[in-house]
Amino acid sequence: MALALEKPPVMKDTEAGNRALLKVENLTKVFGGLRAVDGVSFEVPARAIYGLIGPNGSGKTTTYNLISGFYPTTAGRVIFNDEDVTDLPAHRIARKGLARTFQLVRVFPEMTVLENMLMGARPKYVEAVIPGLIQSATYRREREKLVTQAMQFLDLVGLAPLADQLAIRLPFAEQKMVEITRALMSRPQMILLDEPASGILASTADRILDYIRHLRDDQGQTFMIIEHNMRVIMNICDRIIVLNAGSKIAEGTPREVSNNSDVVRAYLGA
Amino acid sequence: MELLIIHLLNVVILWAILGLSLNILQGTAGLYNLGHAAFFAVGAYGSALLSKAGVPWILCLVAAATLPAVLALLYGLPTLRLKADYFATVTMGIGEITRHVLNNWQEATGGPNGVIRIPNIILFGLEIKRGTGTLLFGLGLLLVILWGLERWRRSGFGQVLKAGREDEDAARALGKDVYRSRLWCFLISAAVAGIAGSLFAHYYGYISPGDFELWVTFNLCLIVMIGGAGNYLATLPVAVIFVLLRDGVRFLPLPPTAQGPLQQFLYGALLIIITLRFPHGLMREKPSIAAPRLVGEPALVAPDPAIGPSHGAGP
Repeated sequence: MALALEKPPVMKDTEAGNRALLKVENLTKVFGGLRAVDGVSFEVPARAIYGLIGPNGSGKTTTYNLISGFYPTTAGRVIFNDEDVTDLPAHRIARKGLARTFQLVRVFPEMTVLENMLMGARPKYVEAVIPGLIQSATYRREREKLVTQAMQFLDLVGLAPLADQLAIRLPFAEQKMVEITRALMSRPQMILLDEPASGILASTADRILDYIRHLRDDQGQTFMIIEHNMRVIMNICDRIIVLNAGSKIAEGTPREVSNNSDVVRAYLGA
Repeated sequence: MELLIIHLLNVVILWAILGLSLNILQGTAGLYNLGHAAFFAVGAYGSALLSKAGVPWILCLVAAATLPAVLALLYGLPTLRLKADYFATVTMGIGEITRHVLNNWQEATGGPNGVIRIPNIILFGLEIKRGTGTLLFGLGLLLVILWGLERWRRSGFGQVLKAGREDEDAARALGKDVYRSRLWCFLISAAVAGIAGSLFAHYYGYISPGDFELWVTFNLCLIVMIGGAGNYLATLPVAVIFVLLRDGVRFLPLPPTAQGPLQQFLYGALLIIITLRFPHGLMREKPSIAAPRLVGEPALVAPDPAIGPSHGAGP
């Protein structure tokens, strides 16, 4: 079904090329004596799909938590859209257009699918305290618009018939879909996905991946993906960053990375 | 008998307003405030002392809402950053501190003797008599409060509160300022409890620190949980049940010393039964919005086979 979705505010194709949307410089996190993330630097250009891989405990999710403001950094900088966002509160980083999802699915369980979707949007007026009590015509119009937008998104991923269901009642894969779609409601410039294809059937995972690829190709959405499933990562990513024990050990195209001896050693042991 | 019924209905309204004030905080925002009686107390004392000093009641009411809200701001700024269980612990301390201040600051509060001879409510020259007058007035106020809170619950603001309750990190990742919304909720909750305090003080005409002990808060928690956390309408019938249980015991042929323990026993039993049989309370929380049909779509679309119910391995 054809949809008139607005495009997210990304740059035109001509300038998209090499511009780094997300820049991470010397990012470091120390927990007690453990250097969980140790001087990691990389750049992600707009409209790209980057992979972040590494063995368990290599610091992938910690890197996400640092970028998205959930952990304070020990050292290093995070630049998003030419703006230093290091150590801003999580909700303020999200408002700058850098969204994230979580490793285990994090829908709001006792809220309906539609309510979940509405939480993805970021309407200042509709969520303010006093307008919420007065509910003027403007408020109702704004809210109406959001509901329509949410329903369009749900329709796009085939979840519209489930809009009134509590999120907790949905199967796991559908919950994941809700979480990713919900993150899109705010039209973020970039989304950090944490294992979007784990714990679900390969065919379902393919569906989610098709959706991600479609968002990039049609709407210029930028992604970074943590994933353990190599088939997925090799298929979808333009470039891959490999972490091991908190440090970046390789970066390159899927082919380059899979032929890199350091990477093979990190995964299989020396 | 008639007088008794009117009295009990007055009490029901007080508990209902108090229950509502806690429901938005505990039910919708998921914050367990074990010091809620403090806001009730500050509203009651504020209104009582001001009206005794000759301030018109309508201003006393404003003060009864504002003073607890200011207190909530002071208490909330540091404590609302805490995780839920720590918040509950701290608020319990806050409730007790407030009660001890009322007990010991004799010059202002009359200490353990409390405040006596609190005048009736006079609203724009019209005296609202204890009994039917306060009942109708209280009922009106209750309905306005119910309407306002329900509107808030369904609004975007109420949804942010709920999202913060369901998963704080996920809400923050979506750009929600959970802390700020909780602070607002705390203020609203305190203001409504303060309004109940004012009604309470002018209805009884006498208040003392003993009216604001920890059991008040526990009973309110009970009312909210039994009715259904997050369902405001449910608070009303439960307030009736609660008062009937509490005061009905007095009519049983029991020695007075057995009445108190029996009340406690009944509350406890009720809570256990409800928790086991109706974990969401008697009336479940309702969604804030129903999905509209998409224009030009049939009411129910058969799910795309490629997308339809999958067989996820589960977490």
